[in-house]
Amino acid sequence: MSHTILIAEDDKFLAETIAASLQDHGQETRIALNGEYAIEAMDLQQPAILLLDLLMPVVDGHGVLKHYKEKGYTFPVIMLSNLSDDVNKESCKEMGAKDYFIKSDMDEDDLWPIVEKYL
Amino acid sequence: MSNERKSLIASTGLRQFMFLASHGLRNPLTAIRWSCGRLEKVEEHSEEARVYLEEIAKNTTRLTRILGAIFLLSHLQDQLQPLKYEHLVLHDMLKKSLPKEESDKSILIDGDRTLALESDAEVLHSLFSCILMGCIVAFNGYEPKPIRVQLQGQSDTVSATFLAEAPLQLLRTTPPEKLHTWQGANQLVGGTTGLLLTLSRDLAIAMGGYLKLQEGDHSFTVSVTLPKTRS
Repeated sequence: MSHTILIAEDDKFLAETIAASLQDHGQETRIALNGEYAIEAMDLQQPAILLLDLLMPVVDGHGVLKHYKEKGYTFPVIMLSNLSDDVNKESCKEMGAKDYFIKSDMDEDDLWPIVEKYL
Repeated sequence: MSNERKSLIASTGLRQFMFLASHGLRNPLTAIRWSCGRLEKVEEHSEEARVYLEEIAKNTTRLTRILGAIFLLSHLQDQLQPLKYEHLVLHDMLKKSLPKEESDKSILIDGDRTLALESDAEVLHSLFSCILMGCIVAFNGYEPKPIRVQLQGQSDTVSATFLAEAPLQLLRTTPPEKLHTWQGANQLVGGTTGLLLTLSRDLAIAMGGYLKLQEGDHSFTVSVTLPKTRS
């Protein structure tokens, strides 16, 4: 079954690579290259899942999560970041993120089972 | 200063650096790893495959230069490697420092193209590479724009100011870390530009100069000022 997955990632190449991987699994994807675009996208149409980077210009991942919490959204948010400190992990989960993964520790074969779990 | 305080500062500094380094090193690794994964899924010799191979090459160079800068800085700071002075022309050093894998990004250099200084070519090359890679990464995902560099000479110093027309990536750390606060900047600086700019700053200091970062409206400038002759 196809779902819409919103990818909030400022690295355009990585965003497109993640999108291509999810499309191979029959999913629709939307890309937001910064947190402001991510907020606009999720307000326009709530995705089935949000894959959210932390470090983004304009509005960062924390800012997106704050908006997500304020709006009372319930779709799953999965953090994909290369920041591995516990402070960020804990604060993201407190703001409603379901899970937190280190991008460089995974590849696309690791991503799909995670996404599938939360769909 | 007591030995305990020195030890605390050293371990705090190391922790801060490791925080930046882990992120700065992981980003190119991510691109390499994901590109390798996609290569297995796309047709060999296709345009898609070419793009992924280019990304692997670009990020391998990035990692090599970052690690090179880290080791160079370590040697300089431990005084294992003295500076080797020679006559260098800033304009020429800038052109050489842009990685060939980033050749789609151009550098527009204004100012005196004959501006020269006595300095260490390897260290200056590493310094400019780090700044250029940091500015280039800031463009990532946005419309590619040339990096503008303004060269200026004063009586005993030279400066190169890099203008990046992209917003700075923001990093909130709790509590705010001193390493992330730059002269003239009102916001915390981090992300993929953080490690590279931190290395640039420390390389500039090792050369007897300094680095300044200033934020504008959806842009930022990095200025490096160096002595014209050996001190």
